[in-house]
Amino acid sequence: MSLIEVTGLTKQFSSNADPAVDDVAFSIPHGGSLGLIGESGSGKTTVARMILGVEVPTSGIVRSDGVEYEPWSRRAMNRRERAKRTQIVFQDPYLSLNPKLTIGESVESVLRLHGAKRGAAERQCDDLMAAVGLGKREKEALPRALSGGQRQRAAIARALAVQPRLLILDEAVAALDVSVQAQILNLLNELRAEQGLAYLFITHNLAVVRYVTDEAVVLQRGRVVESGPTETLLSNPHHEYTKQLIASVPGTARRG
Amino acid sequence: MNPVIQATNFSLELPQAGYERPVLDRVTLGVKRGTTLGIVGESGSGKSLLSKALLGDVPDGAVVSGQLSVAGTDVIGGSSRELRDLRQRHASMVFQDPKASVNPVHRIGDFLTEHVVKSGVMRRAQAHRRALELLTSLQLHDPSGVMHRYPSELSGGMLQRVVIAAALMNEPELIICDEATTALDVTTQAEIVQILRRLTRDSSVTLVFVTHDLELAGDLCDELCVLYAGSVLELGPTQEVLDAPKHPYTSALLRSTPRLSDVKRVLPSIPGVVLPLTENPTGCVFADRCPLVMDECRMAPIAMRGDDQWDWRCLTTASTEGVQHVAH
Repeated sequence: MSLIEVTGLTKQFSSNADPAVDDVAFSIPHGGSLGLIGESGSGKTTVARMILGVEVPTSGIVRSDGVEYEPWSRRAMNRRERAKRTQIVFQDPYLSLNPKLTIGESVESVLRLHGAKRGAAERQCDDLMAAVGLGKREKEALPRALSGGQRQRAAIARALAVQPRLLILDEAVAALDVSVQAQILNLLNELRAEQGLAYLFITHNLAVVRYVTDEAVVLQRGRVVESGPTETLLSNPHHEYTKQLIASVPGTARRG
Repeated sequence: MNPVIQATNFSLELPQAGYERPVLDRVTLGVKRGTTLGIVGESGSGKSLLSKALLGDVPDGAVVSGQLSVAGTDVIGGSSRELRDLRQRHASMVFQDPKASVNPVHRIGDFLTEHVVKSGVMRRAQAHRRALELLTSLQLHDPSGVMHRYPSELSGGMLQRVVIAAALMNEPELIICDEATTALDVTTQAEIVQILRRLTRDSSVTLVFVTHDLELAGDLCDELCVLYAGSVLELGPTQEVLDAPKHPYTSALLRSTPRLSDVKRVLPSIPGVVLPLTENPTGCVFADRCPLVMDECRMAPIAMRGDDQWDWRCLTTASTEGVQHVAH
């Protein structure tokens, strides 16, 4: 049974415009990783927002373990339950970290909010910091004292604090330098292997999607134009748009 | 023929509390007319500072030394009139965010013609004709319609074409693009790179393309300059540098770049972080992250070695081979 399955997901922001998301369907197994590929305006972030529950779809169904649920509904579950299902990491970690709290305080506050006692929260925080490769110095630092890569590690630690089953990564490595991007991609693979997390990995970068996903969905103007196992999709694309995206990756033509 | 850009031991220091090392350190490079130089570096490498410094734009209080000549102008010793002349008539810049380059309440046509008319490079009618020509050659749909539109009515890719057209208005010898395609979608980026490639092929314009993306620079540039912590670590012909880099940093950067063709799941990363401005090592700036580091690397400043085609700043690489074999 899939951890999450969406069918017919549609979002129309205005009645006289085309839908931003149009009849999108996919599923992510427990511990699986799905890449959602598209350019700006393709609707990839809107899909994520609906699964997260901060956007109400015009129509469509979300199922978890085969059971229909409405992540956007206030009645269906409370905020803590919702948080435990799905967490998100954005491109810019500055936006997800309180600038006045140290990294440790940020992570611990989430743990405390979800019912951990002070001592337990501290221990769990240390474990999380270790899991994302941050040390004592970073734990006691404010976000602005850290490098971009370290801040993104901190944002991941904070997202993992509630032990979500699904982590949405919305262009989470797009703003990082390549050497640091590689570190974070490797970290994501390690975390998935160790903790059985599932990922919805949103990106415009096809070269990156290879490293962290099993399956991929290509969105164009809100519609799924192609989907399948990532390796197959990249090595043997069928849709013109996928081919165009692949040809646009720098170095592809030169390296043949 | 004189090179369009000639920098010799060009250094830039920001005398600010806590800043221990120059933000640009003994940069030596030459760019021949009609060629494309890629300046590649990660954040903190100094690539944007260098690209702005080429046109004499340095931060307040900066201390510069060495020699820098661009399009025949002495950028370091030149008067403000000479620098203005350089920027108005001989060189242009294109930045990452086209929205920041245009005035949101001016029509595209006014934006394109205003600076050349005001600076006396062209008369209004001539400027209007040139703007139309350029928009047409940059493959914008309905160029005369675009002239009457406002920036908010254009997509990012269209607007960046407009900004490139503006950069070409004064028929410059040199165009500097600082991460000019970074904010664009991948397919739009590919189109803009195609346009720049055609531009350099069909005219004698010299292009400096500043980017964090080694592969992208590889698609466009004749030569690559790899910048790290303010130092040029490698400077040579693009294809050769990408095929067999001489500097371990270039090699590591290439290996950590995700590629479509790879089948492995683990991406070799470069441990550590870019050298902060608060540290000024005696020796190599990359030593702390280098897999090949030796004791000698830390003892004294590393000089450039190589020939006039290909130079690098490293003690570990013999002149005949690259460093591809570096084990992770």
